[in-house]
Parts: sequence; C-alpha cells; structure tokens
Amino acid sequence: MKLLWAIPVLSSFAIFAVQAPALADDEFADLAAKAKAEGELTWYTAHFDTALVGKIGSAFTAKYPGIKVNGLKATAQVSYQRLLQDINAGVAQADIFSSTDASQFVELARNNALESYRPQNEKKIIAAFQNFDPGGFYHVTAVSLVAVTYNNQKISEADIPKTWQDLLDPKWSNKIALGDPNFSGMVGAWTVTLQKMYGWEYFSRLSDNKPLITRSIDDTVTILNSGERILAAGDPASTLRSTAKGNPLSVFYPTDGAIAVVGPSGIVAGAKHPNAARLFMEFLLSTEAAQIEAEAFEQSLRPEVPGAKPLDQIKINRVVTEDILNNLKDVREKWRNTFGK
Amino acid sequence: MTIFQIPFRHSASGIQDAKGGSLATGLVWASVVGALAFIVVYPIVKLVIFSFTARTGLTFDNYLYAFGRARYLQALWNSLLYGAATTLVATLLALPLAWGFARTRMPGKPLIRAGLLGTFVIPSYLAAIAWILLAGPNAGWINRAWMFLSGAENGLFNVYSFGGLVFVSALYAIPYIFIYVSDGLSAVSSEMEDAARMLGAGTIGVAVKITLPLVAPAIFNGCLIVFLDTIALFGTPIVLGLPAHFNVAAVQLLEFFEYPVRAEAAAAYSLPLVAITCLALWLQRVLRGRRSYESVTGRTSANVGAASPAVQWILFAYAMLILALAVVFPVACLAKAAFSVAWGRPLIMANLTIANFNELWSSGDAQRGITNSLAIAALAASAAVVLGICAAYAVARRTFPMSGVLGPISLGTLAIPGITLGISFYSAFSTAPFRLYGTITIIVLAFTARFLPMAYGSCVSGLAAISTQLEEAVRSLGGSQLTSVRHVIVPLLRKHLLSGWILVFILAIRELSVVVFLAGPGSRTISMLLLDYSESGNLELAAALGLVLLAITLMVVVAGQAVLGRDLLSRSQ
Amino acid sequence: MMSNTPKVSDRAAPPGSGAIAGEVPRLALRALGRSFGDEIAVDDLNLEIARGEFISLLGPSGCGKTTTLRMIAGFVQPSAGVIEKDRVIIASAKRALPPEKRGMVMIFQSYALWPHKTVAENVAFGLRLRKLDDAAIRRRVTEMLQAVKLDALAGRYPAELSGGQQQRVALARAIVVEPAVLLLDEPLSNLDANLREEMRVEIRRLHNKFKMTTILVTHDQAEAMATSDRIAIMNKGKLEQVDTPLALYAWPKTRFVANFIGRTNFLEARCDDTDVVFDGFSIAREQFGPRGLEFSGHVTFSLRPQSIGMARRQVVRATASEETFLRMPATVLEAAFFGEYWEYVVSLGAGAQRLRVVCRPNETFDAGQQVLLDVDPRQMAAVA
Repeated sequence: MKLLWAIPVLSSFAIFAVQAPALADDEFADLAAKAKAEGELTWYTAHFDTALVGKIGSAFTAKYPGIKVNGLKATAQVSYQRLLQDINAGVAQADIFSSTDASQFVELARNNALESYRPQNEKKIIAAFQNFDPGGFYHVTAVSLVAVTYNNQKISEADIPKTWQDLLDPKWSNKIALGDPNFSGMVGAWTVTLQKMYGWEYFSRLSDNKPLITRSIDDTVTILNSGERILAAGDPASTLRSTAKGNPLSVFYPTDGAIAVVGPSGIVAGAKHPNAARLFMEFLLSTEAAQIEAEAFEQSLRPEVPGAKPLDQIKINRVVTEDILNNLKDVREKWRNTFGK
Repeated sequence: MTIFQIPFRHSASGIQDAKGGSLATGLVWASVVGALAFIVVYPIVKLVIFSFTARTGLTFDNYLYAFGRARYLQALWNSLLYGAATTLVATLLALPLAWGFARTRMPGKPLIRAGLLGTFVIPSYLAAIAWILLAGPNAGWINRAWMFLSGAENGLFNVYSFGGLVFVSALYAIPYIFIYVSDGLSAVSSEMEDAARMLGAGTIGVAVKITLPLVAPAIFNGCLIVFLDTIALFGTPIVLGLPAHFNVAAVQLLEFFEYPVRAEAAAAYSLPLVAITCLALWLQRVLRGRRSYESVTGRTSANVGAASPAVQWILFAYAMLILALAVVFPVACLAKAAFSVAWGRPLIMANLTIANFNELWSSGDAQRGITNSLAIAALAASAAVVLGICAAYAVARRTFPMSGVLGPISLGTLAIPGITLGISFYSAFSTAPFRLYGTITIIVLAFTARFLPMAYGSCVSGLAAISTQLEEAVRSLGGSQLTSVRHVIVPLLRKHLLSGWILVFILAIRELSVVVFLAGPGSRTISMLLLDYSESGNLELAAALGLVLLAITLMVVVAGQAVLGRDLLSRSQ
Repeated sequence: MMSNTPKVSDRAAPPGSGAIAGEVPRLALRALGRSFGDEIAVDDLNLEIARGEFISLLGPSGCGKTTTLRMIAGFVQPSAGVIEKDRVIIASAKRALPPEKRGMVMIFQSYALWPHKTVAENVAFGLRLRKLDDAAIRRRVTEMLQAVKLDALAGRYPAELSGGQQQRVALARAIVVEPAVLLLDEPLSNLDANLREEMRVEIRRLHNKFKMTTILVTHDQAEAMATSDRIAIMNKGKLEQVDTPLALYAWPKTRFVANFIGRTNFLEARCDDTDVVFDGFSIAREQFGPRGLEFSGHVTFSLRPQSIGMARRQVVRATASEETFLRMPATVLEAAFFGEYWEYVVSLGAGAQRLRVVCRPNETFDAGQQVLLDVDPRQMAAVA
C-alpha cells in the first residue's frame, strides 16, 4: 500500500525534474516575448573590449533570437559624453549604459536619467556586489582590476616593482605606461584610490619618471607589446587576452593592493527598447555571461563560475563610490596639471 | 581641371541680363539658394548665436569660460604653432620635389606622381598610428634599426613629441604644396629664367633669385591651405600630441563636450579658429590683388633643362626617400600588423593570419561602419557636385540678381575648421525642429557643406573654359536656359563633375573631425572605428580596417583616372 | 559686286534716316539706348529694317554695333527705347522677350559650334527643339549640308574642321530652322582674306535663296559694301547714317562717315552770296547744282581722291561731261605707288590746301610737277 503512494510522488518528481530547466527559461519568458517585439537594443559600454562586447551581444541574440544587440564600446568618459549628448538632444539612443566610473551613475540617477529595475539575477551574484544602489537604478555587472602589467621579454618577474610605491623608483624612468583618468574610468578609479593611499605627492613623484600617457587603460597593452614601455598600470583581463594571442605580457598583483573597480550598468530612462534592456540586464548577471567573461580573463560575478583571479587570493583595494564622486573631477584637473604641459 | 584652385574672382563672361526665365527655372534657382542657405548659412549663424546663449538668455559667459583658463589659451596658441611649423616643414620638403618636377628631367616622374597620389590618399591619423610603430622612442623600427646599427643606447627619433607630430603632419601635407607650386612653376615663362641664365647665373642662383620669387604667390596659396587644414586637425594630434603633452584646440574642444557638457562654450571657443581662417583668406585676397607676377607675355612652356644629371639623380633619391617615409614604410607597417596575430611579435609564420580580416568581415559593427562610410561619402559627393555646379553656373552666368553672393557662400565652409563645423551642425540640426541627431542624414549634410568648396572650385574652373556663346547659340535656336544647361554645360563639364565627385568622395570617406561630434550608434564610420580600435589597443584590427579604407580609396581613384583618362592630381588639360 | 538690286534706294524717303515708307518693317528700333553704369554704349538709335533686307551695322570697335545686335537678339536688355518685330514690341527697358522666343537666329564670331556634337548633330539641334520627327530632321539636315557643300563631313566633330568649314556649319545650323531674322556677329573676322571673300558671297547667296532678313555686324567696310542692301554706320553709340553703299560713299552726311568709308579730302569753306569760298580759290554756287543754293555759313566738303582727275598743264581736255568740271592748277608734293594705284599729295593753287589724289598706275607724275586738277563740284559732298 505504501508503495502505491510512491508512484505519484516519484512520477511528479520526474515530471518536475524534466520541467526544471524549462522553468528556468520561463522565468523570463514573459519579458523575452516583450523584448522580442522590440527587436533590438543599443548598449553604450566602457566595460571589456569591442570583441568581448560583440561576443556577449551575440550570445544574447543566440539565447533570445530576434533581439539584436548594438554594442558601442568606448572609454568611460567618452561613453558618458555620448549618453549626455543624447540626453541633451532629447533623443534616447541608448537603452542600457555600462561604465567603469560609478560616480556617473550617482549623477545620472540624481538627474532622473535612469530607470529603476531590480533584476532577479542580482540575487544570485556574489553577495558583496549585490544591492549596489538601494534605489535599484543601477547594478554591478562587471568588476575589473588594476594591477602591474609588464612585457616579460624585456623584464623578468624578479625585477619588476612589487608595489605601487616601487613604481616611483627612478630606475623606471621612461619605462612606464599609463592611461588617462580624463578618458578612462578605470584609470580614474585607480588614481583616486592611490591618492587616498599615498596622497597626490605620489603622482608628482611618478611624473618625474616620465610615464607615457595614453587614453584608455587598454592602450597600455599596445604600448607594452611594442616594447615602447615595459611596465604599466593595466587591466589584467585585457593584458591576458593579448597574452593568449601570443604576446609577451604578464600580470603581477601588487602587494599593497590591486585596485578593484566596480562597473555598474543602468537602464536609460525613456529607452526605446525598455524590455529588451531589462532582459539584457538579467543576461549580464547570468551564468552564460559570466562564463564568456571568464573565458576572456575577466572577473566573474557568479560564484558558480570561476573568474580570472579569485578575489580572496590577492590583496584588493576596492574603490569607494563616494571617493570617486567627491574627488574624480579634482583628480582629473590635477592630473592635467601634473602630467600635462 | 583644377582640383585645388579656390578662385575668388569670377569674371562674368559676356553681358547677360536678359532673363531666360520661366517658372520652372525660377523654382530650380530658388531651391538651390534655399539648399545653400540651409546647409551653409544656417549652421554658421546658429553657431555664432549658440556661442552667446545660456539657459538665462544671451550672455558673454561662454566666451569668458572658454578663454578664462590658461590651458585653453595655451591650446589655441599651440594650434597656431603646430600649423605654422607643419606648413614650414611641408613647404621645405615639397619645394625641391616641385622644382625637380617642373624644371628638370629627373627620372621616375610617373612613379613619384603615383607616390604623391598615395600620400594624398592616406589619412594622416592612420599614418600616425603607423608612425608609432615606426618611430616610437624605444620600440619603433627605425629606432631599433639605428640602435642595432650604431650600438646606441637610445633611439634617434621620438614620435611622441612636438617634432614628431609636426613631421608626420607635414609629410601628408606635401601633396598640397606640391600641386600649388608645380602649377605655379608651369605658369612662369621660361624666358625670364633664360634671361637670367644668359647673364651668368647658375642653376641654384636662377632657382633662388628668379624662380622662387615668381612662384611666391603659388607657394603662399599652398601654405595657406596647409595651415588652415592643420590648425583644425583632430586625429593626428590626438594620437601623437596627447602622449607628448601637446594639447591643441581641436582636441581641447572635445573636453568641452565632457560632463558637464558645455557645448555653448565649445562654440565660443571654436570661433577664433574661424576668425583666423577668415583673416588668412582675406590676406590672400589682398595679396592676389597685386598681380604683377604673372607673365603677361612670353611662352609658358616648361623649361626642363635646369639641372645637371647629377642633380637630377640627387632629386630622384630625395623623392624616393620622401615616398618611402610617407607611403612605403607606413603601409608596410600597417600590412604587417593587419596580417599578424599579435603585432608586437616578429614576422614569422606562426604570427601570420587573416583572422583580423575575418573578424572585420563578421563584425556587424565593422560592416555597418564600412557601409555607412561608403553611403555617406557617395551621397555627400553627389550632393556637393550638384549644388556646386548650380552655384557655379549661377555665379558665372549671373542668372538672377545678386547671384554673385552664391560664390562666397559656396566657399564659406573653407573658413570653418572641420571640428567647428561639426559642432555647428550639432547645434543647428540635432535638436528640434530637425531632430537629426545620430542619423546618417546629418553627417551627409555636414559633409556636403564641408566639401562644397572643392566641388564648386572644380566646376568654376570648368565653366570658365566654356564660352557663353555656346549657350547663347542654344537660346538663339529656341532652347531655354535649362535646355542649354542640359545639352551643353553638363556634357562639356562631365569630366570636371566626375573629378569633383571623386575628390569629395576621397575626402569624405576618411573624414574624422566632423564625424566625431555627429555620429550616433547607427551612423558610425570607418574613421571612428579606426580611432576606437586603436584606443582599445587593438592595433591589428585597426591596421586591417585601415588597409580596407586604403583599398577602397585606391579603387575609386584608379577607376576615376581610367574614366577621366589622366592623373587626378594634374591641373593641366 | 552686288547682283541684287537694292529695293530701298527708289523709295521717296529722306535718305540716311533709316525710315522706310510703305510696308511694315520686319524690325524697328525706336530711340533704342543702352548704358553700362556711366558708359553709354548705344544712344537714341532709330532704324527700320524691311523684310528680306540685308543690312549691315558698320563702325569701329566700341561703336555699339555688337551691343545693338545683342539687344536685337535678346541677350542684352535695352536701357531705353523699344525694339519691334512686325510692329510688336519685343524688347523695352521694362520687359524683354527671351532670345529663344524671338524667332531670330544668331551666328557668333566664334561660331559656337558644340564640340561634343557632330556636324550633323549641331545642325539638327534646332530642329529637335522644334520637335520635328527624325525622318524630317534627317532630310532637312542633309539638304542643308548639301546647300553649304558639307554633306561629306556630316559625321565629323567641329575640332576636325577648318575655319571656313566651321563657318559653314554655323550657317547651316542657323538657316535650317528658317528663321525670320538672321543675325551675324562679325562672322568673317576669324578667316583669312581669300576665305573671307568666298564666304561673303556664300552668305549673300544663302540670304537670297532663303529670303531671310539679315543683319550683319562688322568693322570691315569692304565686307559691308559687298553684301548689303543698306549699311548703318555707327560711331560712339550713335547712328551716323543709314544708306545704300553707293550713297554712303558718294554722299556722306558727316565727317565721320566720309572718313570711315574710303578715304577723303576735307575742304573747309565759307559761303557768301554768290560763291563758296575755299582757301585759295572759290566756286560759284551754281556749279554745285540745285543744292548749291542752300549752302550757308561755314561748310565742310568731302571730296574723294578717286574723283579728282589729274593732267599735265599742257593737256587740254574738253568733253561734255567735263564742262562742269573745274580746272585748277596744283603742284605735286608727294607721290607713292601702291601697286594698283598712285596716290599723290598735291597743293592746290595759291593757298595751303592739300589734296590727296588717286590715279591709275600709268598716270605717273613727279614731285614738284605742275599739274591741272579736274574737280567736279557735283561730287563734293557737304558734310556736317
């Protein structure tokens, strides 16, 4: 008699098990249907690089056929400028905006330029990055690091500087490459944080070493590759991508702390494709996206997908949004005066 | 055909004030005037007004802000310095070439001509990217070769310097000077030089004391064009100037568009460049008035016997050096990077790939960018040529009262640096009532305005060669003015129209400084992609796309020359 | 020489004024004027042109003849006055009919052949504009080219033709549309001398054949004289005199006309009751014929060098027609031989009056020789 009860229980289990994956899809089925009706979305982003942005877009379209992703990668300040130009012109060209400069989102939210949306997938990412904005206007969709990158053909690991302070040693004169906080959000975050750690004096002394200043942090990859400079404050992800192609680059995480930059994303208020944007936001926080990013040496936000460098293995200085908000403008100005003519 | 001749005086050929009018003709001219007013006059006026506006109404605040900081003024000054230095270097480099071409029998002239055309076709910002590979202070190939050969510690050249910036910019300005000077030289009668030679002056003496002063006006015109072009350059300074801590006005303007966007201040800041340009053009006009340099009598046949064979070979070697620096090395660099997995690695089999081209082919962004660039260039070229011939005809034939005013309007955008034009179109058309922001339309309109002077100049010189009597013959036989345009003017001007179209196409497909402000996500161009790729460190992709751009441009040029039957750069015939 | 009898010389109208009595003129210019800024190019021009007439506008460069022609054609608008065609005003200072609507065709000094069209296409153009069908066009073009003897060159381009051939194409192109009025702007000035004569004849022949009204502008008096029924002489924008070639030659009304057509001698005189008194001699009024009674005050006379006879003092002549001649003693001052004629400068009588005399080649005289001049007062024209 007891066995008879087992049959319905077991069979319903089986049914449930078979249906489980479908349920996961059905989670966004409604949203996906509405998004499909919109047909496409435009993504202004400072995250990753153009190729990776393209890959993420293609993966999204593969998962949700019929929705095209127009991804536009540029440095944080340039992307922000584009968005502001759109807002100024009263035309919503972008549906979703991602940047490496968190202070931009504070401003945007303040000016009602973002739409509040709480993605379901946010509950599944690493706890430390959840609930970045209590108002739900923007969420962390990427985490990037700034570390010491170098050309391993020109210098061995034994000889490289081990801390940010070591970069000030005069023997590194004419050997360093940097991005520009006036263009790059990541370099902005790095500069603000290092100012917090060592004061602006750090940069005055760094300028004595005559670093080569380019625009984005990824420009350092180019410079190191050419052998033009041998050391840089670079992004491990883009550097390692270049290494994978066969270039002689390596990464070292400085002992006084690699800088962890939080990269938020927000849905643009008045977007032309709001449902597609929401769906995409979910996608950015999904395991598929995390997988693609991890394969490209980026950090992963999902605990089940291992990223390039587990964050508990190295010393991290996480960038604080208030610091950016209060100091970035100032720091950019000081940078121009210190490193410019 | 004269591509680069920008005429300021229009001789009215024939007394003609009897109206050839009908309603259709009137409508045609009205729409031409309307189009010109719309794309040239309106944006400029809007820009000036814009520079005086703020939320609170009309104000001087924008000017105070734009010129209130030492750094901003420094950038303006830097631009002038940059322009002057580039002009000087370009002139010095180009003069021996031009002289050698017009006055000697130096060998290899067709090859050099082709090389100069290649120099003209390569956009300077693409070349700047290549020159980083060539002359970066530590890793540039030239420097590495030098260090290898001489055992020196440091390289010879640092391209990340004011000198590097000027050198690269000057290399690509050489064709402009060359054209003006060789044209000027061929207009100078050889008899004046013969007279000097008979009196005992040697080759150099004649060249410096007689020839040089006689072509001074032509040299001045060429210098003017180069100067005005250089002070408005955006791409090269951003690639080479920024790392050299050398800020110029064009790049500084971008800063005004950062947060908080101060487009009005940008407008105010950009107007001095306009003022400088107008001043320079006015100066040119004044100097032109004292036309005592033209040989009124005397043959204008080119005297090519000025130099000994030794000198001719030296000139040839010099020309080859210039071409190597301007064309061969940069293109070789780009080719190597384009076909490399990683351009930092040497040229070995393992590093060779066509993956970069594959990536371009499969990238929707790149495909769209290429299609956009082709479409925009073709549309702008067509619009510029149509407007140009209409305006040139109206001015030359005085088809309605005050039609002469169309001349300065058509040439007006010469006085506006590209980046300022971009801002003015932004302020004029991106918002209500036009709302053209981010569309292809606004870029086409801006390009049409920007390149109208070239199309107009080409048409004016073509028209000047057509006697009014050819049209009067049509009217005398019973045809209307439109009939005479259709049956006589257009067929006879076919070659000028085509060469004007090709010129605008070449200039438009690689244009950067206007597009930077006007491109939206759906209307990106090859030039913007190039900048983006190079900015994100993806030099391989940038080089591949650069080669694609060069290939497209070359195809158009070669096709055009085949149809036209002669060298695109030649001013004769 | 002209083979056409001028129709207008018989009419009883004041000669030289340009008015024609009787039928409606094909073209009439009334008080026509044109200025460019301060410069007056044409001033108060009055002229009537009859149907089928061949008239020339003749004068030195800058006299306004081309401007007048272009006003007639419609390429320039008058500043004053009107132009009428068949009594209809086609141009005035206020309004002007555009050239394509006037039914007149102009042939330009440069011929203005379209270089990108063949000879046949050039000629056919006007017919195409009039929407004739292809067959008709082909027929008429062929006929026209035959008429100008260019049918073999129909497929050539203008650049391949000589000057004379181009001229003929221009003619053919104009005439094939059978215009009411044909306007010619110095059509022969680009040709060399032999060709000029040949084409002159050709133009007149075609004018006769197609019965057009033709207006020719030229600065070459031989050309005008040889082709025209009448010639309008212009100077500094004004009409000096309109008359048949012979009348212009024999009876010039003004100094300018007298000097412009051929060469002449000017003699100043004062009139008293009975005689006209010159410098060194006088002539009785009756000897001038009926008009002699009308002279008064100061008069200038024009006497053609060709109408003075010269003989050695010893020779005595007496023929009926010479009875009215004066015989005056003179001295030869200069002699010059021009191949087909002698030109002598003689000093007349006691005074300082100098005359040029043209003689046949066999009439040779030496400088210093005493001669007798035969002068016919009836051939002396009183000019203004």
